[in-house]
Formats: sequence, structure tokens, C-alpha cells
Amino acid sequence: MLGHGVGLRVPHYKRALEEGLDVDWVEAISENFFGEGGRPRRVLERLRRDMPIALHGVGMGIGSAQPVAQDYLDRLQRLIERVEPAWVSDHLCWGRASGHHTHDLLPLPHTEESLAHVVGEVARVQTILGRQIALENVSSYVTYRQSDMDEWTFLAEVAERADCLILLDINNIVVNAHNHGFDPLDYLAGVPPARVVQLHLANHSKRDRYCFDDHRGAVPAEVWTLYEAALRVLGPVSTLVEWDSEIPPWEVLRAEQREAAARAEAIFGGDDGPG
Amino acid sequence: MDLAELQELFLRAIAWPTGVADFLAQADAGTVAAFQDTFAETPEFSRVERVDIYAESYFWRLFETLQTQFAVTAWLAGEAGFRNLVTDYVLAQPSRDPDLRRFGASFPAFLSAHPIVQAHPYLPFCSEVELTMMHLLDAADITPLPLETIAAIPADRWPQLRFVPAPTLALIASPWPYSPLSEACRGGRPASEAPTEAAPGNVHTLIWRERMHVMHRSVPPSEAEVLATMIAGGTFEAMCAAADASGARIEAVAGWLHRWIEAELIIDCAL
Repeated sequence: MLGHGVGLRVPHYKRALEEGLDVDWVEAISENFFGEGGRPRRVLERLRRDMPIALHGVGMGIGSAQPVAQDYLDRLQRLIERVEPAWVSDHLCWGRASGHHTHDLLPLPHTEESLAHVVGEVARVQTILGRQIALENVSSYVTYRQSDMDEWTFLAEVAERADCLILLDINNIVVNAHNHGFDPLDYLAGVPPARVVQLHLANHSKRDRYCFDDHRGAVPAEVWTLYEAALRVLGPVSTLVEWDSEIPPWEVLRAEQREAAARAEAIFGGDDGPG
Repeated sequence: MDLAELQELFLRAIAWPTGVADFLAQADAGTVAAFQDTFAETPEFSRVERVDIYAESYFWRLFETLQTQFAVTAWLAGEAGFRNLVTDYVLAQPSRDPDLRRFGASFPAFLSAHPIVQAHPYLPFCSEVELTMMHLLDAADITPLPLETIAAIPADRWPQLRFVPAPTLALIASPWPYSPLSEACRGGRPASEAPTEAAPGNVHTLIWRERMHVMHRSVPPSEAEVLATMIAGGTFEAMCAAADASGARIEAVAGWLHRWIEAELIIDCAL
């Protein structure tokens, strides 16, 4: 249990270099640090001296029918060796076809075929990287007619069969519950607690007929409520606040991180680790 | 339909430049049937509208990436011009790398052959500078040459001395200086007032990384001649000859060298 952290973003690099960041841990977007030097690398080195870092990718697309490219895994492995992260994670999604990258986190059909494919890819990636990875549930706006299991059953089955970890994004559950009409508490009940190593908190936008996962703004009330429900189901879990659009000053982001810590403390007392 | 076929259908639908409805309107009956068999819908929210959310995101994510990486180019091309340019680029050169930051790697070359250069001939150069700046941002770290090292070299060795340029520098020649364009863009001036008049000959833009920050400046002709000689591996004697040929005083070379070393442009020197 690492405590409560934030997603590391460029507007906070200056502060990170000059003063450090007063949170328990940070999560860095892996691909943003694939370069061999310069300011990004210096920021990571500076923060790593102070706190644990998790690496979170957006480009693996592990559910793509085409396998994850070796070159991508080589770049990730070099970064892992440099950072020695607490966790390495990416998303339970697909993102490329015909050699063409969409740079999106596209949902998979929840079928035995997808499951078998993802489990095989996770096993291959974990063998190459020499460690377990965590997979995050993604937000979605479509479902597939051929899906024959719930999203949470699919997630749990991937984790169990591939022996990988789960990064549970609470905001994405809220978004998908709205977009696809399920009870978010059913989702929480279907996730194997022992596999969950991280929670993500963020905001979304309410559009005409759907919720859009844009990480713009402070964590909303319904995400806080589901976060507390998740803690009651899962126990203490390292938690991270993400804010990706119109990124606020550090103090505002940090206040969100403290809010996450305070809500966990209200449930567990002082026994949920740092932060 | 297997997983690979489903993903290819999804990709074709979201990569269609005018949206999912238009994609289906031109698709054959088998593709339309496959689309209907693949995506679920609800009475109030159709499958076309749902997949369209991804189509919008697909284009705008790539657009915003290029707009951020090529900010001055985008400003000069104008809002509609840049949007059309990116639409053409996305169609012609879809991303082939999982790292989104590399999507613009072919953008300057693409621009060179694009009709937009007839009205905006400076765009390929401008985008080349911006791509170089992006590469230098996280290029491997260097150890700059300390001033004390060259101060200790005996005077009689200097003529044959060669300086090793840092891999974190680039010198780009074109009829347009980049720095005034960048300044005008950052100053919020309208692009119609941009200093886009071509110079009679080439001017040089120096791009380099100094203490983690990527910088750029226009380099006067004499200094550019001497710097280019150094980058090409010329000796100090050759650098002085280049200064002389360009009408500069030999003493100026020492001043430039001092400035370049302070700016971390040189990593070593050797006989």
C-alpha cells in the first residue's frame, strides 16, 4: 500500500524539479519517458529519489489482434530498468489493426475468443518484462452484440487466467455504468480484491446522452461515493488522482489527493498506510 | 467475425474522414451488415452515434498532438488550413508507432509535397525546426566541455584543434529565420502579420538544448559559417579561415567559441 498519489503531468515538472512533490507516490505515463535524456528523464530521477513511481502505459493495446511489438516492449523494459517502478500497468483494450495505431483505448468484446487472446498476450508480455503487469478497465461508449459476459467478469477472468494485477479505475466504472446501464456496485462485487493494486479517480463530462471520460475537473461526488464503496469492498488500496485536461495548479491537484487520503482514513482510521 | 476482423472494421469506421454515417453510406452491403451485427445500440442512442464518438476522438487526438508539436506551423497555416492539412496527413500517413509523440515524424516531409506550400512556402522549414526541437527535448544527455579544458591548451596546438559538437544541436538554413516567427506567434499576433518575407539568401537557425531547455536563435552569417565549419569537423584554423572569408575578424571566433561552450554546444576537443 503506497498511499495516495497523482498522475505526473508536464505543468508540474518545474515544481517536481525544484521542490519535489508532496504526495506519497506518482504515476508516470510510460511513453512520455521513452526518450534517453533531457528534462523528462531528470524529473523522473528527481522524484524517484523521494517516492515510489508507477509506470502507466497508453500504447500497449494488449487486446489488439496483432501482438504487442517487440520494439515497444524493449523501450518499456529500458524504462523499467531505469525507474524500478512499483507497478507497470496499461489498459485492458485494443488500439491497433493493420499496423495502424489509433492511440485510443478501444473496448474489447467480452467473449472467450478475446479472453484467450488477451491472456496469451499478457503471459507473453509478463515473460518478456519479467514481472506482473496491471491492467486497467477502460471507459467505453459501445458494446458488442457478440459479448457474452459482463465487463467485470471479463476483467476478473483475464486477471485470474493470466495471473496479472488489476488497476481499477473508479471513474471508468461510473462512466460505463451510465453509458451501458449497469449497477456499479455489481461491478465492484465482481472484481477479485486480491488482484486490485491501484485505484484511479478522475472526472468525466456529462454530454447529451452519455458520459465522456475526459479527466477534466475535480473528482465528482458520484466517483467519491463509489470510491468509498470500493474501499469497503476491497480494503485499503493505493489510490491516484488523474487530471488531464485544463490541468490545475499543483495545490488544487494535491487537495484532491488529500481528499482521497482523508476519505480512506475516515473508513480505515490511520491503518491504511502512508498519506 | 473474429477478433481481427472486428478490429479492422472498427478501425475503418473511425478512420473515415467524414464520420461513421458516411463510411456506411459508401460501404458495401456486407460491411453494413457486419457493422450492424457487431455493435449494439439502444433506441435513444444508435450504434452509429456511439462509434462516432471514437471517430471524433481519433481525429482530434492526432490533430491536437500535431498542433502542440508544430505550434508555429499551425499558427502560420491558419485554423482551417492546418485542419485540412492534418486531415490529409492522417489519411496519407496513419500512425505506425505506439508512441503518439512520433506521429509527426514525417510531417515536414509531407508538408514539402503538399499544395499548401504554394501559399505558405515557409511551412516545411518551420515544421522541420519544430520537429528538431521535439527530438532534442528528450535526446540523450551530454557532458558539455568545460571552459577550463580549452583554457589549458597551449597556443601552438590551437590551429589543429577540432571541437566535437553536441548531438543536442542542429543548424538549419532556409530563407526564413524561425525565431522571429516564433516570437510573433507567442506574442499573440495575427498570422497575417507574421514576418514571412523570404531573405535574399539563406539564414541560419540554431536549435540546441541548454540545461534541459530547448532553445533557438537566428545566427548571423559569419558566425553560422564558422559554426558550420566546426560541425563539419574543421580545425580551429579552418574555422578562422571561414571567419576571414566571411568578413569577420579572427578574434570573433574566440568569442563565439566561448558563447558556444557556455551554451553546451560542444562536448569535447581533440587534436
